[in-house]
Amino acid sequence: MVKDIKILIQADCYGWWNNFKYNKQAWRKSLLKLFGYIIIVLALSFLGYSLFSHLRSFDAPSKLLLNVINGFLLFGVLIVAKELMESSLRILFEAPDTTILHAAPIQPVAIFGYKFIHITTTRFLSILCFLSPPWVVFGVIYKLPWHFYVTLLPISISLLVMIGSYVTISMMVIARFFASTRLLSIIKIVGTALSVSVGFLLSFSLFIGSEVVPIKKYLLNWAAVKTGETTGVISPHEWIGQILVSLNTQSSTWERISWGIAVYGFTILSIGIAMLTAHLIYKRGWENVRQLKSKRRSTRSNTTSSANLNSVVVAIFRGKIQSMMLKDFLIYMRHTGRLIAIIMLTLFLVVHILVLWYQGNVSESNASEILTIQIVLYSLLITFGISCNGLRDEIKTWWMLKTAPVSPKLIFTSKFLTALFCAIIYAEFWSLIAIFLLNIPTHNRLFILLTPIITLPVGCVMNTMIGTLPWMAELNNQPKPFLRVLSFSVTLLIDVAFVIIPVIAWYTNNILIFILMIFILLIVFVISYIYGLGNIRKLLVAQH
Amino acid sequence: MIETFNLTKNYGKLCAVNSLKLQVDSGEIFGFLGPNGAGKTTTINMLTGLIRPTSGTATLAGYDIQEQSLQAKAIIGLMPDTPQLYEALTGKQFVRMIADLYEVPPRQAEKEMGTLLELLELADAADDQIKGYSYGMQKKILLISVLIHHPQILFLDEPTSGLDPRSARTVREIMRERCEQGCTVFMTTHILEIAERICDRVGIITKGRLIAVGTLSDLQKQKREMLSQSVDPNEHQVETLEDIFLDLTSDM
Repeated sequence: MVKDIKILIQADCYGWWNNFKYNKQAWRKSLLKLFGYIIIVLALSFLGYSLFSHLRSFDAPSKLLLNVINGFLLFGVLIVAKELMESSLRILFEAPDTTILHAAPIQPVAIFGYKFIHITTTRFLSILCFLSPPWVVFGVIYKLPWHFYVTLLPISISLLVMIGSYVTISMMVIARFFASTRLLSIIKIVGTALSVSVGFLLSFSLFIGSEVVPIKKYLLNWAAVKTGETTGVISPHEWIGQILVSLNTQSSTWERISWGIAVYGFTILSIGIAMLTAHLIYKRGWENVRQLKSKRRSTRSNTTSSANLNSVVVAIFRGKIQSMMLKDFLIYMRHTGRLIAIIMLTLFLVVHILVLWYQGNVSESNASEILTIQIVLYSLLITFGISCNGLRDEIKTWWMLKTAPVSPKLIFTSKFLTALFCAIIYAEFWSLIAIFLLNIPTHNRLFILLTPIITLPVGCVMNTMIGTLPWMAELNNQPKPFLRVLSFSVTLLIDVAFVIIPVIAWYTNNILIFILMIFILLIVFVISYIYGLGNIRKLLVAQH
Repeated sequence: MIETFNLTKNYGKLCAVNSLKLQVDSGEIFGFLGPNGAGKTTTINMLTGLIRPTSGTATLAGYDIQEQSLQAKAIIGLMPDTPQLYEALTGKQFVRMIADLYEVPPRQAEKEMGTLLELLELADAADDQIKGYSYGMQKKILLISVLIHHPQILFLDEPTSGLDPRSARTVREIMRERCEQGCTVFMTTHILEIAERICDRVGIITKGRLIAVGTLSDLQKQKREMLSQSVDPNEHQVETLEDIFLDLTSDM
């Protein structure tokens, strides 16, 4: 078994090394990922600094300190567990190489062993990024000795292995006994929802003043409640907290050793249990998932109402542009990640509207303007999947449009109009809800209802134009991740500017400024449209 | 119907297709054969406007594929070897979209789609998302989308691979029927028996060069000329396309 695992890991290393050596694309992607991790480290360090400085200022008791640390650990553990859950589902059950491996004379437990090592190794950077920054900040603020920092690394590895074992065992049990397409979809959806929430929370900790960080308040409250509890230490992440804090406090050597034995002993035990579970159920679980994938999910509906609806849709969406728009819309709507993003953004919006409704002072403040900005910005963001990413979704099927008698104008216009319709419907719907629920003054209603109609066409056409840039569409198989991220960031900033311009014009109450605004937006619209058409024309002709 | 003039495609130093001169007539089934990596798919990609030739030109029904690409594309249908489709759509939604792009009147498209779905035994799955289709089903739905607008020229890259025997036969019958209606079929295949049975003429390409073209008897003559073999009047052994193909491509 060990020999098989060694061979597989060796092959994996060759693949990794070849990528490193020959694939510049992989290099760029890794660098970009590293950049993302740096941002996470910065956000967490900032949050950690704010919290531990606060605790240090009033000489917080060690139990409260430990619970704050545990809170951080729990946050990191959740993120890493989410990543492990996604990758274990993919690597253990869905990766194409698994079929070949199961067909080879290798024990399932050896396949699991190799895949477990692969899963945990590739998540090593995550655990360092999500767990270490607060610890390091804690160490710096409390002036801890050097061996504290040295201990961090093996302890992080140990925690990673423990979480990895828990997650893979759970996934194997689910695959073996509860495998269903719905459950697997839910797991994927939970993963994506967690990603969106974490991104949102971390962006708060980076961009909002330290004294009003909601995570900080929440974490402190949570830690205070936990301090009052008398329950024992049962979770591995709490043991990790204990072992690290014991390095600082006046704990006896025996106490430190006992925590160390507990952590490492449990790590080894977790691996053992995971291997045993793999021996018993991994292959059957994999077979179950494989069967699920091969079962064709029927989307057919035989009810009369759906048949009528179908015939209506068929009648309306016939014709070149309508057909292309329907295609763009369906591709967009059948993308789970994007649906989750829509739900999350809508949730934020609903919470904001409910808070305003509860406060009930919309007419006195500028809340309706802020709400309008939020609604229009969200409308642009949720349609990014059609405008900015629409062409990229067609990488595989681009050959079809290239060989069909379709003009660049048709492709560009269909994407732009689909994005625009979705954005306007979303924006006007929530604007109307806000107007009626918040009882917004009459003079502000026109502003709320008109802003999307003025802003969204320009925003959507510009976003669609950005989507036609070669490094955004990626149709020439030469991805440039740096340019892509840069373009996204710049587009977001410009979108924010588009949303703010009408507010400025509204506040000045000057007709000349209003005309100037319309003129600027018109110029941007025309330039974006012409430039976007030109880009599609280049992408559509035969490539060298 | 299809004419190429010194069509050449280079990828750096590698010459994928070298000065291809070819003429395929209207209503003809032309088999384009060759070993792996010979340049078959590259030729189809150039003829359908997917990639630009390094030099040379090609016309489809008189339209230059580079200069009059929209007119040329309106009369062709391409079925690549690996179907890459809009997986988010259902089979019917996909076929309707293609029909609309080629401006087929909706009523005619619906009628045609129904017939083809029944013919290729895909009617039961037509309202399912393509995402859940097997490889063979994806090929069938792609073929339906290609046939629905009655193209004048059909480019089929390995049309029967991945299909069950009944569907493969149906495809062959459809090809023959369409040819009788004046459609030209340009197909590649590795199954030489199929090529021998249904193609009016075949062309053999290897290492980017077209080495032989014609009917089976033409190819026999060409092979003898190329390999400097003398005709033995007592020899009655009938050579198959496979024999000719293997002989012609082995020494190249």
